[in-house]
Amino acid sequence: MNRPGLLFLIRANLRRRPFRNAIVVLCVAALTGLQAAAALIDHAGRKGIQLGIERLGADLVAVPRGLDEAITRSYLDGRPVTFYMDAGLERRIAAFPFVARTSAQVFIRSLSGAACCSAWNVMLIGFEPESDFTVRPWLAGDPRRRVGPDEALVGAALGMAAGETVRFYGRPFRVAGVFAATGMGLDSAVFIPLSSAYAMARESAAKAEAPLTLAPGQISAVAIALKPPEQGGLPAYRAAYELETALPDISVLQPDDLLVKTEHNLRRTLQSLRAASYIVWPVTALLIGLVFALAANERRREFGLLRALGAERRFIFRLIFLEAMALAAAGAALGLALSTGLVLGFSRLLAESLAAPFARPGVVELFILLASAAALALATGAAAALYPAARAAGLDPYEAIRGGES
Amino acid sequence: MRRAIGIVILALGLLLALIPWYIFPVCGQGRFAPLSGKKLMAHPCAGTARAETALAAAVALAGIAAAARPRRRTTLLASIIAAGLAVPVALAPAFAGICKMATMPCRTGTVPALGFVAVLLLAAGIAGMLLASGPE
Amino acid sequence: MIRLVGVSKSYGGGRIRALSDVSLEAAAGSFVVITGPSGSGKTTLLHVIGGMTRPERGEVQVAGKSILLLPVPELSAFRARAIGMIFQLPSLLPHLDALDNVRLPLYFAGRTDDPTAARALLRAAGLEGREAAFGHELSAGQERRVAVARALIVGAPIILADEPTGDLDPDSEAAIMKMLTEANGRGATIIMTTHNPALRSRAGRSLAMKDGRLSED
Repeated sequence: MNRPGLLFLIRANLRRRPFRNAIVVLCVAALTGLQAAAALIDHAGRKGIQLGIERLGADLVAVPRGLDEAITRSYLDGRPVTFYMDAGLERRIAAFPFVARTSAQVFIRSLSGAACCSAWNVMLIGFEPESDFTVRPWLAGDPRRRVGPDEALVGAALGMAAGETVRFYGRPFRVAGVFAATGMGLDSAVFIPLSSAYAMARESAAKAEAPLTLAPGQISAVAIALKPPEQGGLPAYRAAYELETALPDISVLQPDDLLVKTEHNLRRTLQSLRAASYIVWPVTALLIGLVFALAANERRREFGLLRALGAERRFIFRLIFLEAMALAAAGAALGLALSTGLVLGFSRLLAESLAAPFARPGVVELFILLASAAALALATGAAAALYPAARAAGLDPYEAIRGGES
Repeated sequence: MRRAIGIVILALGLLLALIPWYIFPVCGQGRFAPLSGKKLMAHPCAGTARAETALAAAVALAGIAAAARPRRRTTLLASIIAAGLAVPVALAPAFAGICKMATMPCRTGTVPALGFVAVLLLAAGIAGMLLASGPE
Repeated sequence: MIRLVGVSKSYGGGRIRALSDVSLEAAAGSFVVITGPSGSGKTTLLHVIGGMTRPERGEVQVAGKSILLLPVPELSAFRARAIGMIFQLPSLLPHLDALDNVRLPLYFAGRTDDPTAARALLRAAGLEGREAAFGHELSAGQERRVAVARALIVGAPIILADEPTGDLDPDSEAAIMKMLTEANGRGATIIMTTHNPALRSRAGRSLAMKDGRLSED
C-alpha cells in the first residue's frame, strides 16, 4: 500500500487537474520540441557538410564558368546536373605550379521511367580510376582495389549492395562498393569509370530508351588537389583566384562554398524555429508561474491544514515545486520524443526542402543535444515555480486556513 | 473519455487512409508514365499504399465502434485492435513494396509519416485500454 | 501541561482584538470545555495553543515548551507529535480518501505507517466500510468523524477540538464525544470549544469566552 507522503500527495494533486496539467505539459513540450528541432537540424546540417567536404576529397573543383552554383546545389541536394567542357582544360589546370594532382569527372543524369536505367534521375559521375583521389578513399572494404570498366560505386541512398547489378542506358554495371552515408546529395550518386561513361553514351542509341549525348573528350569537372605551402602551394582561395583569372572558361568551387551555402539555406529555418521557441519560452514560463500561483492561492487552506498537521515549510515548498517540475519533465519528454521522431524520421524530406545536408547525430551527440533542450525546459519550470512555492511555504498556518474560508 | 478515444482512433484511421495518396503520397501516387510511352506502370510503393488503405479501413471501423458505443468492452476491443494494427501499419512498407532508393518520395515522406501514425495508434490503443479498465 | 499568560492577539492592523490578555492553565490529562458566542476568540485561542499563529504579547507554554521561542522547523515537528487538531470547518484533504487522511499525520510525526490503527479509528468512529470514500462523498458528520480519527492517530498528548460537534446529527455528536472522552481517559489533554452549553457536563472544567477575554464558567 502506498504511504501518504510527499510523492503520494504530488501524484494525487496532479491527478486532480488533468486539463490544466495537459496545457502546461503541451506548452513545455512545444518549447522543448522547438529548441530540440533547431539544435538537431543545425547539428545535422553542419555534420553533413563536414562529412561531405571530406568526401569530396578535393581542395578545389573546377567547372564551366558560371556553373559553380549549379554543382553546389547538386552536391547538397543530389539532383543531377549535366554540363560539359573540354578535357584539355584539365591539362591546363594541372600545369599550374601550385597544383599537386587533378582528376577529371563527367556528370550524367540517368533516365526517368526507363527500363534501361535501374535508378531514375540520379547523378552518374564518370571518374578516372587511375588518377582519382576523391572517391576510392571512402569505400568500405579495400580502397586500393581497382574498379573495372563494368563496375560501379554507389551512394548509400540507392539501397544496393555490393555484387548487385545496376543498369544505366542499357549498360550493366556490377556494384563494386557502397559509400557510407554523408547526408549530402552525393549519397544518391553512382560513380562509374570515365571510359565506361563514354562507351555507355556510344552504345545508348542502340541499348537505351533515349540516347545519351556525350562525346569523348568532354568532361564536367576537374577535382584539384593543391600542393602544401612548403612545396609551393597556395591557400585554396588564392589558388581559385589564380585559376579563374588565368582560365576565364572555368569557375572554381571551394569546399567552404558548400558550408556557406548550407548555412544560408538553413539560416531562415533555424531562425524561424528559434524565434518560435523564444516566443514560446516566456509564454511557458508565465503560464507555469500563473498556474502554480493560482493553484497555491486555491490551495491556501490545504497548505494551512498540512502545516497544522505538522508539515514543515520546506515540505510545502517541495510539494509545489516538484509538481511543477513533474509537469515540466513530462512536457520535456513529450517535446523531445516528438521533435526527435519527426526530425529524424523526416530527415531526408527536410534535407530536400532545405537544400542542406542532414547527417544523423551519433548517440552521444544526440544525447547532448536533447539534454540541452530538456535542461532549458526544466530550468524554465523551476524558475517559474520558485516564487509561488516560496510564497505558499511562508504562509502562517492559521492565516492560510482562515484565508481559505469564504 | 471513452468516446473521445473512439474518435481519436477513427481520426487516425482517416489520416492513415489519406497519407499514402494525398498527404505524403507514394511516388506518382503509385503510377508512373514510362519513357517508352507505353501505358502507366506501377511503382513498387503502390502496394504499400493499397495495404495501408486496407489497414486504415480496419482502424476506422474500430474507431467508429468505440465512438458509437463507448462501453468498456467495446472500447477495450477497439483499443486492442488499434494497438495491434500499429505493427502492420509500421511494417507494411517492408512487405507490401517500397521503392529502393532512399530519396524517392515514398521513402522520404510516406514511410516516416506511416511510422508516426503507427506510434500514435499504439499510444491511443494503450490509452484506450487503460480507460477501459476503469469502472463502467 | 498548557500555560498561557497575558496572551493578546489582534487582526486587521489592530482593529479586531481576537484575544485580550488571556491567561489559562490546564493540567495534563484534563478535559477543558470553552464556550462562547461566535467571534469571541475561541478558534484563535486554540490556534495560539497549537502554535499555528503567534500572539503579539504573552507567553505560551505547551507540554513544557515555550512554543513562541521555538524555531519554525522545531515548531512544525512539535505540532506533528504533540498536537492533534480538529478544525471547525471541513478539513479533510480533498484528494485523499478517508483512510489516507487519517494516516497522513503519522508521516509528519516521523512514525511508521499504520493502516491497521487508522482502520481501527475509523471503525471506532462508525465509519467501517467507508475507508475509500473521499471528503465529498461523506456527510458533514462523517467528515468530522474522520477528522477526529486523524487527530487521534498519532496519540498526541494534547487534542485541540474546535467546535467538533457543531451542527452535526446526534449520532455523529455522540460518536465524537465518545472518542474524545476515551482519548482523555488514555491521558490526553483535551481543550474543546463549543456553542453547546450542554457539553460542559462532559468536561472536567468549563470556561467562558467573550470579546477575547476568558473567564471561569
